[in-house]
Amino acid sequence: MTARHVSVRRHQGGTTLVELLVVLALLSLMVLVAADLIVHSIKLLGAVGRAARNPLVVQVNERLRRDVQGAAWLLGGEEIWSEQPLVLRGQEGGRLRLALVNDELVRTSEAAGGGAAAEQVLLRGVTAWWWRSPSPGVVDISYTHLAAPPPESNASREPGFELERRTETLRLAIRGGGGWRW
Amino acid sequence: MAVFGFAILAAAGFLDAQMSAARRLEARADLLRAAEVALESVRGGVLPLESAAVDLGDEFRPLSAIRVATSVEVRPCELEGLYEVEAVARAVVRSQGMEVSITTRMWRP
Repeated sequence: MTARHVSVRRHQGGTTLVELLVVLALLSLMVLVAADLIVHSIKLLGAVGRAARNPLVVQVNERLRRDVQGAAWLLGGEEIWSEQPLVLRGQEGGRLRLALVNDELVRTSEAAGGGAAAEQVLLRGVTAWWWRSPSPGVVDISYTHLAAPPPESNASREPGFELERRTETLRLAIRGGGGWRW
Repeated sequence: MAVFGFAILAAAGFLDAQMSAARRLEARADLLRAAEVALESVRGGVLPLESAAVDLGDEFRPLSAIRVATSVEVRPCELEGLYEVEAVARAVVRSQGMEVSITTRMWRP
């Protein structure tokens, strides 16, 4: 065998083991990065979806809607925002009181005729409670509660980061006798 | 390196799509809230029963960083004094228009 033949055989040798290992390492790195991105983004989407429609807050808002819209009239409504309890008279003569007590939004209902009052905590971690009546038969409610911040603001991805305050503001028209149009 | 670059591009695109979906979810909740406030304002007499653009003021600004344009369309029904009222809230979310509307019926007082 001549020196020329040896040179040709060396060039047709294909990939070496080192080249193969480098490619495998690059592919592994790529899979790791892509998998981490995908897992994190799926978690992010789920968390934002839950935050946008926090079931507890949705439930509280729905309760406030039913209470105010179903009331007959409002007791002591003013045009300026007030931190005082919101008191509504029910269609059957009962009384409903919504107030902030020790960082809890508390709903107290009394049956007509001064029966026993039923107290219920609607939401904990409420830091502010405001309401007003901009027009007869209309109630604006604004409350601030503690909530987890959007996940993308937690760049470190560490659990237990600080809570943020979210303010929910509702405008509701009373239907049960005090409203204009329904 | 080409394969690696392509994978990074694909992952970035995937992440961007997820973020876009999350923003649209938040925006939809804000648009629903704005449409509800407009309807309740008309129902309660804070706003007149007529077709117009509605300014909800600072108290009802959206929770996410979007600018919401709200309007109310009023159409008379077959019965005298009964009107079909449609509240429409629009916003641009990540360069795409988004719209939410709620339709109900109201009596003129």
